[in-house]
Amino acid sequence: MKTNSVMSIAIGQDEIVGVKAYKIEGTNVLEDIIVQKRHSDMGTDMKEFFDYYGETGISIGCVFESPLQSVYMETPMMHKIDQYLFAQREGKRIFQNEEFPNAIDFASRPGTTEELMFILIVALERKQVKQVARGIQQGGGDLRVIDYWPAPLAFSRGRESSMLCITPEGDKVRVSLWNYKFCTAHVLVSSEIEAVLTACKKVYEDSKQYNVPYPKGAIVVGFDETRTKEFEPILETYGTIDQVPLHIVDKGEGYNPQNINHEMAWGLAIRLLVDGK
Amino acid sequence: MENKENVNFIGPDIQWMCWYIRYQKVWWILLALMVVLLVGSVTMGTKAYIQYQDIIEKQTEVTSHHIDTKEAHSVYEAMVHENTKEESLPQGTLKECIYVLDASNTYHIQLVEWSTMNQWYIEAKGSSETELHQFSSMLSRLGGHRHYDEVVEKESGTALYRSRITATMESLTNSQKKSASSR
Repeated sequence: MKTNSVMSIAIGQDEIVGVKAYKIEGTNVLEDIIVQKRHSDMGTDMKEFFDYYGETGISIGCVFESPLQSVYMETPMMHKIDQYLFAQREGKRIFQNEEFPNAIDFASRPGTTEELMFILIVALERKQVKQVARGIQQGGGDLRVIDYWPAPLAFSRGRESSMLCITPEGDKVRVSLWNYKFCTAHVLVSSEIEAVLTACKKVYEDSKQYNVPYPKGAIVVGFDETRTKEFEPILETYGTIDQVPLHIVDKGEGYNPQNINHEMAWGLAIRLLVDGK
Repeated sequence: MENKENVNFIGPDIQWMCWYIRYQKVWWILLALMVVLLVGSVTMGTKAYIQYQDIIEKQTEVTSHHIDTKEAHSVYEAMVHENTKEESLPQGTLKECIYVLDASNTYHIQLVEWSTMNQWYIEAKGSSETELHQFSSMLSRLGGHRHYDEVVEKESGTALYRSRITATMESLTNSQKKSASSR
């Protein structure tokens, strides 16, 4: 049976990519992909994009390129309201930024024992979150999710129990380790291969305490061809993880699996189809 | 223990913003209704306040009409003292008049009209029905051959009560006859 369609939008530095997808008998189907060049601030671009291509009455998700600010920790078990308060307090303390106030959100799951729990606290620039939400809502969209960069990659790569993710962040490289859909550790390093390899070891060492297994593979996304080639030793060391199979129909032909914005949008679409929100 | 499975950044502030944008027309209609209600309630309140002020003003008017009878008493005493040698005063009219003023002062009654000649007529008003009755009963203590009739009614449109007291002289023969028959 065909599910309701969802729309996910990934806002990169140069372009906005929108993906429309649905699920039919367990298969994720990509039915439309829209790409629009960016020329203004996030809010204006988002509103313009949604005015042209947005759809009302379907679930919308959005993710925008931004520095990864997250922390993963194990805490004593807490009620949901206490989790919220803890995340707000800790998030504000850790990611305090007077110049760009942050919006804080969290996710949680059972810990290593029954008395413990894992909590993931994420921060995004509040202004950008508001701009995006306003842009979508003004276009009549039903906004369900604003995700953080590069979390949707965990969904597009099948939510592995341990996956290394190497993505660009400004002129540096962000190395992060993902346990299912949670980022357990990350580090920002220079783009030299040695530094990246060391960072890969470090994030694994940091995540060991949370019972995260040895990486099943690594993904290198968002770099130009030369840089991707330079990073091949990482893939040789840890192996690769492919994107989940996708079924493309109608106007979904323009999907480019090598483009990070396309993959982000697709990953977020999977999240909306799988988790709802 | 319940967990929050995903990060979605739709916090309370964002959710409110989304609801505001989605239901913008409804919010504005609600706001307009609230303004209308506010204006309406302020108008009603002001009207009620003005009416209340009018009542208070009338009550204040009543209390401000009190007459200090001390001076009248002393004048009367002086007059009585002066005139005792020559001739007696007519039927205590002045004394009764002062007595009426004194009683009205005691019970915060405003005298509207009064006459203390043989046929008494007193019209008075006050804020308390009880005080009007007390005023009337105090007058009856003046004694003499009078029969008192009192009617107290509420004044329309105000919180005041109006009292009409009449007193008629009972004929001396009647009382003598009664006295004779009782023997």
